[in-house]
Amino acid sequence: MTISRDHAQPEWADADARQDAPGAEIVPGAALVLTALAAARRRIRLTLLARAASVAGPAGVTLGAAGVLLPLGSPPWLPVLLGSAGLAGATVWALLRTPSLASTASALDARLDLRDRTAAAYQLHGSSSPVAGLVVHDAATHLAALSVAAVFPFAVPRAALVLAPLAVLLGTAVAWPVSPRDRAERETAAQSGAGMQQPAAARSSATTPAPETAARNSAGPEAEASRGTRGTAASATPSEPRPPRERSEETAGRRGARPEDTVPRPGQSPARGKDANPATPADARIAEQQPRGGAPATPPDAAIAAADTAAAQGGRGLANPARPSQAGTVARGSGGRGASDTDATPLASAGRGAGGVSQGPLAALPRLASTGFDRSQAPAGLAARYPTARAGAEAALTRDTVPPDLRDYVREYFRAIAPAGQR
Amino acid sequence: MNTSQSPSPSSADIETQAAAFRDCFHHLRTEIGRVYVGQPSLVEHLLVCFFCQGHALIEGAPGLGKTVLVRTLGEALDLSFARIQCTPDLMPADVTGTNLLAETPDGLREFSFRPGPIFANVVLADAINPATPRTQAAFLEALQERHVTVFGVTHQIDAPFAVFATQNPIEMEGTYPLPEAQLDRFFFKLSVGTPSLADLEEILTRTTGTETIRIAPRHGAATVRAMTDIIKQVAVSEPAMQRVLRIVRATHPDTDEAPPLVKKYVRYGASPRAAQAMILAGKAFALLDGRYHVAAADVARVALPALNHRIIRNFHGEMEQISPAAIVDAVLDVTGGRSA
Repeated sequence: MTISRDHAQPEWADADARQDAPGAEIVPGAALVLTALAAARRRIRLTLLARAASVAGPAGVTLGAAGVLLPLGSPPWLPVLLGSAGLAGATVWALLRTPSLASTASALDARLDLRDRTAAAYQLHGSSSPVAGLVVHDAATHLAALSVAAVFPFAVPRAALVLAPLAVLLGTAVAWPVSPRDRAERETAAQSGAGMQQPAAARSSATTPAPETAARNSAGPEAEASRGTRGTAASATPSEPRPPRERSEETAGRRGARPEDTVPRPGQSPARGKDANPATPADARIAEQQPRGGAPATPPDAAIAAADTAAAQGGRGLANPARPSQAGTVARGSGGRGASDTDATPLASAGRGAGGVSQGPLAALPRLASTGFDRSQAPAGLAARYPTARAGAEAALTRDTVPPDLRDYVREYFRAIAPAGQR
Repeated sequence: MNTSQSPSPSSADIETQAAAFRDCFHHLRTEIGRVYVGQPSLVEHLLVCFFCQGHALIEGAPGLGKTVLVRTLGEALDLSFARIQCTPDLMPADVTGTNLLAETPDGLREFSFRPGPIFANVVLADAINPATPRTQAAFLEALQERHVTVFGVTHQIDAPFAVFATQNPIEMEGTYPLPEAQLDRFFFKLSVGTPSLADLEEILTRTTGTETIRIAPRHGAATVRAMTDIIKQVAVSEPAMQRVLRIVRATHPDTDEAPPLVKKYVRYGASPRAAQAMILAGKAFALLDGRYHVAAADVARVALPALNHRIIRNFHGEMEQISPAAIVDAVLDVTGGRSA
């Protein structure tokens, strides 16, 4: 007797739900067979999902981490994104590849050497023929002690054995950079985040830095970020989250410190090269010729950034008196963060050149700041940070070998941006 | 279309009859084993063929016990047995029977039909090749339709009815190979192999002594008919059905499923009768295995005897002596293996 396919239930009907359907219990033992089939199907789906996810997830993380670690300009969250995409793809793939109940029955027969007992029982479970009861009962007897986990064990794919450790390795490298320079950059970023929220007094009293380092610390976190230097971990304090825009600006500043970023890449803000510290005069000229622009900043922010940058450059740039012109060029580059030529306000223009030592356009910037700076628009943080920044600058000017004209220049700058009541 | 169907038995009846079938089968196998030594697969296939009410062509060298095997089967069953020794001068009427002019008790003379040996339950057509094509054709109607027509009158052959023809593959001179149409009517073609050393020793021990083995007939025609009916009750699983379809398709050289061996050496593939034979024999083997459904493995088990006489090789295949068994093996390989 050939069993017609009409007896088979539709594939979309779940076995558990089908047991409640009228006539589903015509054949004794059909419930057990269908339950076993449903369990086996779930197990197959889970196995497929686990196998696919164990490959796709690590593969995505690996690709993303490689994109971050290689100089491709990929964002740091790319591994998370690609890993999540891999897991999502694995889920979809597993759902699509989940076999039908008939195929599950065939798979059970093949694994358990049941000689098509389950497939025949699935065919006949809705039939009223006398032989159907015998077939289903026979299958139910063989499936009574079924352990789907033993029949369909999860086997780790060979690719996953390679990809998973690789993903962990690269993911760790992205999350906790092993390079001292990268580590310093991240710590600096963390400090910058904390510095925006903490009082200047607390930060200044956190450590007893070396003279030069102290100047940098006192110049504020923005200065550290703009310099792209390291070694301020001692002054690190528990950071608090900062606004995303400020953080991204600082990130851009750190990247600008890399020599390879002296020449702006397409789509990159050219203003990042503020403290590139070019190794050669040619590099300095390149930095000087870069259009200052990038992300637009509000005038108060630009002023604060310019002030901090200038203070920092006053401490560092003067440390090399043998190359004043180069230092001045660097300072000019650093001062332009966040201000484009097109939307340059007097304040932004002042900030752009405030840290420089050149007597050209930069020389007029303090004057512009003093005349064009509307102190009513200054953010609240300026008043809090100003004393620390100015004290740090003064300390650096006192202890470092600084040409006298540049000392006056820095002092004039701080006087120009001093908040009301602190002049 | 009107179809007649006998009332289906209950599940308990099927279980009981299936157990009886297994008991009958094992009894016959044991009884045949007392006379016929070795070749368990041949005996098994012969019994399956008989219970499926099919006819078998048994091929083997002289002296391998082909006739003894069939005769023992007839003796083990409480059925009528007839032997037709096919010779070139054998006439169709010698097989089917003929009308004879006979005198009635009241003195009148009239023709009455005298049935030939074909009307037995188990018929042994010994060495069918020397019979002329005309005589061989006389078997055609009986094999397929299970009745014969003499002088315009059709005479039914009582069930069970099975013809077991033997042929000698060595002596080809003066013989008439069976045409393809007649070959296709045989359910199985079984080959008798050379006995092993132990079997040969046992044959010598049994046949050269004074002991005579008596077979006790046990099962009558009604039992065999019931067994035939219970075999047909067995269900066919979808994997088994698909396997049969793929196998039959793969024997045809003009199909995509055909293996290279078939494409190169086969002229015509298996007919639907081959598929019917595989399904029916698979049902019998399923019952013997304690199942009520045919599995794909059952199909693979009966593929060779069901196919090897239905695959017609081309000239290259015959010249290169590509055996039908090799072709069937290739077909089974491409359709899922020999055991799956």
